[in-house]
Amino acid sequence: MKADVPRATTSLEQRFRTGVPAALTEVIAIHQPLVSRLVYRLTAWSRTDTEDIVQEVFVNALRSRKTFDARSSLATWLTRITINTCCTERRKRLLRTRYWKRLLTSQSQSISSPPAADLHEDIQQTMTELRRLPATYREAVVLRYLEEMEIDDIARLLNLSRPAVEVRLHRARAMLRTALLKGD
Amino acid sequence: MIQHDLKISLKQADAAFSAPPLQDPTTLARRVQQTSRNRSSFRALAAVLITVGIGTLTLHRPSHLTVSTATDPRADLQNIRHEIAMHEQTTRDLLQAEHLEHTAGRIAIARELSTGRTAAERAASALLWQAEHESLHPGQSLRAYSDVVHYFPDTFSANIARQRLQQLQKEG
Repeated sequence: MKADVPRATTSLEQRFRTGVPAALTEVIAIHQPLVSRLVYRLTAWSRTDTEDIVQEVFVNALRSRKTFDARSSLATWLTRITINTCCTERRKRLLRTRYWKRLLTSQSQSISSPPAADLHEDIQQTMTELRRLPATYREAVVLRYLEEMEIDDIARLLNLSRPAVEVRLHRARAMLRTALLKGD
Repeated sequence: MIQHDLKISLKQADAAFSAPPLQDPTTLARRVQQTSRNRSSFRALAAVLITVGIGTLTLHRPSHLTVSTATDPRADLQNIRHEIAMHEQTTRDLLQAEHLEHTAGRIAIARELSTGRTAAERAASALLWQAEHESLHPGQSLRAYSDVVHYFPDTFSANIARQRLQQLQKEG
């Protein structure tokens, strides 16, 4: 993901920060594709969750709009909020899993998008293994390989050191490699 | 699998799953604002309820008097018993002091009698003094008074001893 924002949005950032209602609509119109795509990937390609979490991301952004400063772009700021919101939702789901395991089992079956019937077997397997990765590893993989972010940017967004991100990526690759080779 | 291949596989897998359709920005913005307003109202209401709750609890907190009456009854009973014991001890001390004063008077009389008398009178006086001195122990005093009367019946001390014996008999 490239976190570059057009110059025209500079005033939009200021208007959004001061709480102008029309600015929110504009921010959503510009950044919804980015947020939606990232949420979809971070929630392991779950269509049902994506819509709710996207709304939650913008609610959080609206609430904490005064903390936004011009040091980073609005896209970077929203990316950070998206990652944090996905983490929070994951924690909530873990709690739900613990206490309402049965209920969640039926939910989880409905939230994951089913793979297309005509999908190539290798792609299906890759996606299955990607979904099986621990959330922190999947997060690193999504940001690095699908959003094409630099390791330093990922480290800043996840509030980690560069070696920590590299370790996560290395382990994620190793796990995927082992799982895919076993599948072959 | 090398890193490049993995990246391509991941991208292919990601591309195979089409992203969900985007929502209408105006509708989404309205929903976001509504949710945000609802949450603010909820937070404000929760803050008011918590404040009222804390205030109610603080106002209805039991006073010091209530706390003191609510102490353990065993401790109260123990305090009362301790107080009773103290009063009993005071009474005993007062009685003892009165008795010693009374006895000291009698000893003084006996001493006076024992000076410048005959040998029998002195011996009787000595016995009487002993009886007076040992008056804290009624059994021994009784025996000493009886000895004075028995061995020295015609002495002045014997008269005093008889009076004491009569007095002791009256007291039972």
